[in-house]
Amino acid sequence: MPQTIEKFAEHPRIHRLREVLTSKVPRPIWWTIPGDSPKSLNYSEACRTCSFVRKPAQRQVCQRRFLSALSQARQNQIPVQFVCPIERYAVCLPVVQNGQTQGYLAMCHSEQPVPETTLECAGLTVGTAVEEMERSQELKNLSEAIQPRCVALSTIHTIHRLISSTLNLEELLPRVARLCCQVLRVQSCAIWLVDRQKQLLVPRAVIELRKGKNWVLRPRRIGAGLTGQVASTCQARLTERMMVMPLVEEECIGVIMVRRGVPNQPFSTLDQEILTTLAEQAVVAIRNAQMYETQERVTWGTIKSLSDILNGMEPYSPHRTSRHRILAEVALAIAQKMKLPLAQQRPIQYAALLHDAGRLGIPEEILRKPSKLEPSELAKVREHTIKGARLLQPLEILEPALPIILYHHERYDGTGYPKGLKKEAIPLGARILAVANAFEAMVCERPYREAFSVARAAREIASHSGTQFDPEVVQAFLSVVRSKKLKGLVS
Amino acid sequence: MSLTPVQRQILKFFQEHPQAVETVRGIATWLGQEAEVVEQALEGLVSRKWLALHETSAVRGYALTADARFLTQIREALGAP
Repeated sequence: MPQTIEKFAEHPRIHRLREVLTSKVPRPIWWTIPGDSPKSLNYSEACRTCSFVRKPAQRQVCQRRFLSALSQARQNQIPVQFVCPIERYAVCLPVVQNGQTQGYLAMCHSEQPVPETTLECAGLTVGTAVEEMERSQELKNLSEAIQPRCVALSTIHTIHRLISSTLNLEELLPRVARLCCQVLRVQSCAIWLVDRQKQLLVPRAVIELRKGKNWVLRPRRIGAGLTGQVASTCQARLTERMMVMPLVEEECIGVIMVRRGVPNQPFSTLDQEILTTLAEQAVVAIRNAQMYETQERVTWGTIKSLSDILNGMEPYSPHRTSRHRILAEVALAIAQKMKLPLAQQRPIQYAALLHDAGRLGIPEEILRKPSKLEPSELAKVREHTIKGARLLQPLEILEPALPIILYHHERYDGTGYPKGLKKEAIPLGARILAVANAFEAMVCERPYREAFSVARAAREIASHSGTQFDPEVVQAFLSVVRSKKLKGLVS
Repeated sequence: MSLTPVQRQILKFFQEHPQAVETVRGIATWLGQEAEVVEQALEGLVSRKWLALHETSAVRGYALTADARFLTQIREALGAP
């Protein structure tokens, strides 16, 4: 229904109706009269056009006739035409909604009567306009009711995408906590995960948005304190300033707590619903990340064992196993310095442990030979990159590491092997491994020479920047050396 | 620095839905605007720290800042014509 009769008068259909009627009547007076049974009329507009109503006594006469016509229009809910005291014609159009008269549109001061058919059409037009405004209002109400729910649904979808796009718990948990703060408009959020062996809740992420405040979390025994009770009962707890929600998947895997900085703003049922939804999403993401971590540990262990077996079989190098681990650490440190994503770091570590697997196929006498190798022998040694990649190819988990193994002896200037690739054509992992491999070779003792110091090895590598090695990788490597990360490792 | 009409629309959207975390595409849909125009407007609002950006390698979610100072600035900016 039109909120006011004035607003209804602005409806395009009513506007058109007024235009049509006005075209047939010179200088008409239009009225918008609110209410079901008006007791008086506002003549301020009418006085400008009609001289008769300027005098109060005459206005009373006009008003009596007008109100009588309005009353008739209300009773019959149809347009009514009447003749005013100065023998002009006037029309009253009731605005009816659900059987109730909400007000009137009226026109007076016409020298000619409005034809019956026109009057009937005018009544129908008013009825149609009322229906249209009703429908429009219903749509608006519906939209106002639905939009917040749609936005909430869309938010849940975005959050799902944000938290399911990582399998790293160290990234995931602070992200979940930050999103909880965002969506619930709270200042603090903390997440504990259950350590079943120790029967403890271990704090894993905390977000504190209040400036200068620091929320220090400690492990909690399951069953003790608020969070401990939530973990043992799997029941959410709500206090004036905080909500504590269990993270449940068959059993409790953790607890999430949100806190408001300001008291007297209790959490609503909707807030609890939102946190429940977030917790449900978080549980799936956390479980996936935990399973991925377990799988990663198993894979890492398997590869380390494989590396130990392969390298232990190599004839002349009793310390080769530990040297491979040094190499893996150095390569990882460079990759981290270069801010490579985790998904690219892992294959570099795997490749570092297994990069020389292809040496197994090289005859012992060549590997043991203390003097300079013959060209044919050198060719055999150089085959180890291809052989290594081929040997490890059946292991699907190593697929991203294979190009690193295959090309780790390529040189930045294109003079390396097996393909003589240049610059960025060499996979980044292989460029990193080349530097780490050279460093490891220099700082570890060989049967035919003593080990270089870290500083000397670093100088040597720097001197081959841009020729043998990628300058960007060398920069990252030197920065790792400067940070003294390698000191304990190499000594 | 004044706000563009799309930036005003975006801020009003987040004022009405302070709990929302929304992508460029989602905001463009709610506002009936082109995604490119919305993305550009969002960048400006994030650089003013009026909007928070939750970002992963695959998704960028925008949300209203939680900082009271910036919320006041937003109210003042939207109050001015």
